[in-house]
Amino acid sequence: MSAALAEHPRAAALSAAGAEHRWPYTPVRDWLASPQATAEAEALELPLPAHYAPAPDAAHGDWQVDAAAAHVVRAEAQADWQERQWGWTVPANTQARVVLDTRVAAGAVLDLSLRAQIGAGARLRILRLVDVAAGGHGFETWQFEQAEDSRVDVLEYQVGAGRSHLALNSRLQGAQAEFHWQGLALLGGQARAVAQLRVEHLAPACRSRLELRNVLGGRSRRSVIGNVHVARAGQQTDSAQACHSLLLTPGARVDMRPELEIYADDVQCAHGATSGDLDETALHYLRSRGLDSNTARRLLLESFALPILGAADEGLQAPLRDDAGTRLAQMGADLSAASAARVSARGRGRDQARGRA
Amino acid sequence: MSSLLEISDLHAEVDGTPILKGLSLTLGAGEVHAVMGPNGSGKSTLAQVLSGREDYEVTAGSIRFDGVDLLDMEPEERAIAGVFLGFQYPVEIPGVSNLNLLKAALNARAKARGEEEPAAATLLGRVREAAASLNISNEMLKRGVNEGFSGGEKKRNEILQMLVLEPRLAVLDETDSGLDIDAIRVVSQGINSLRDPQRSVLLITHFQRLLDHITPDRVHILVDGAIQASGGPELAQELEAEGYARYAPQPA
Repeated sequence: MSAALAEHPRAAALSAAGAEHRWPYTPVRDWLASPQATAEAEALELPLPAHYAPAPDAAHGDWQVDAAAAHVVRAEAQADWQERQWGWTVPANTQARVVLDTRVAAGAVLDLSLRAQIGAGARLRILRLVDVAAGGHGFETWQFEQAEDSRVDVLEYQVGAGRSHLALNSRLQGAQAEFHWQGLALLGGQARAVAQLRVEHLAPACRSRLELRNVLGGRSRRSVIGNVHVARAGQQTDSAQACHSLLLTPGARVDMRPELEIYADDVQCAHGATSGDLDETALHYLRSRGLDSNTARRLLLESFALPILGAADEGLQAPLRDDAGTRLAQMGADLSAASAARVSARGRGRDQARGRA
Repeated sequence: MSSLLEISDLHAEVDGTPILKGLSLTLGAGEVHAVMGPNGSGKSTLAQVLSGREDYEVTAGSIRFDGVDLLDMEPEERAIAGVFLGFQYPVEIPGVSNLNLLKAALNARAKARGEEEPAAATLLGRVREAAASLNISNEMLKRGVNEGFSGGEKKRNEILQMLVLEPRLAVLDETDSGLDIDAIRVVSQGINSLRDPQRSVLLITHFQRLLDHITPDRVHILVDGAIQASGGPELAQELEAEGYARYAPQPA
């Protein structure tokens, strides 16, 4: 299956288009041909509020994002190669909300390309849900063009154990345009999730924020490039990016690379990144108050991850928090089991030591 | 008076370095003892070992709490049995509110004892009453655990948790450090309000100053991982005047 997919003309096209030339690890074709983990993660099930209406069925094509409604756009790939090419327009001075729900099953490939034009003073809010199962591949290319005073907010919630690659380019073409990206990724198994986020500040006084939090278990790997380009015209640019990762297992890995290309002289471009394990002192603090280690781990994981979901629309927050809470509890319980095995091995050592004394 | 805590010949090490070297100490029910010692003497190690911190390895000796072997218990089992550690450096946990932590802690106790979880209103009343006595506002209760708290606020929050959890043994690790005079008074009142014939307190401190407000039954001097001297409250006064020099280990 994988080898056949690697022969698909789009695989060559994706490689040739240089979707990964800035990230010199695994070429698309090798990815598709490489062996896959088979463990199935729990599928994402998110009850959406009733006022989120399915968008007109549009595998391809351009459509205007309706100002009044909230859309749900599904992109699903089941055991084959699926392509989606969309062009969205958000008219000037309107507000639009979209849930972009991406599912890729084992053995399937989703190749999604999205272009969006955001008119002057318009606002677009996107909830990006990504669930790529082990053995599935998701490739997405997003391109935004933003006119003056427009604002785009993306909240990303990504789960699964498959492979995903997102190349995003947001072009802030009008003065005072804003682009905000907040992402939470809960990954396990052999997940490979690459995000190349590029924001181009092409006009004065634009603002951008990238904030990503990753909780990584199993042998998952997350790669994030935050690229901020400030053109000569981008005076008074205000940009910040932060990427924080919890590596729960020895096999988990994160690559974080902030890139700043600055051609204007009156700008603020901040960047920061952290990675680490759960804080043992905090864990002990909670246990010393009577919480068992499962509960303590779950609370610490929630404390790290859930604040990101506060950016969701009100009706979406509760289902998102529930889903993330369940996944984090599972990740915490896996950890507790692993750590209990370690402690009991050490406890035996201690008893022997005390026996000797 | 029966003994609540019995530590005998305790040896403990951190990363292979011996810190406690034969510490023995007996604390009766209802008693308040102070453990004083210079930096590096093992005071905090004693506190961490009592709370069951995993990085601290007990290599010899025993700790009995109310007749049972404390060293065989997990940190949370010790907490539920009634041991409380007031941390020297309380941890900040953004995203988990102080109220939620207290609720989770009380529910864990109820569950372990096969009791019903306390009603939300009862819990809130109990927390607010204790908080008011420590000048902790409702706004602080709703914030993340110790999130953005000053050093003094964190210490007061430890005492708040102690008052709500009503431990049988409170081990307070340098709860007085970083407190101004008014805060020491408030914290001392909190500790004194917990004193009763069933509860014991182990005060671990550098300075005699906390003992102006809380009169201990016994004072122990911890130097080089072992108790070098024990006595009544007057021992603390003596230390304040003379320092720890005379208790320094003699070269062999």
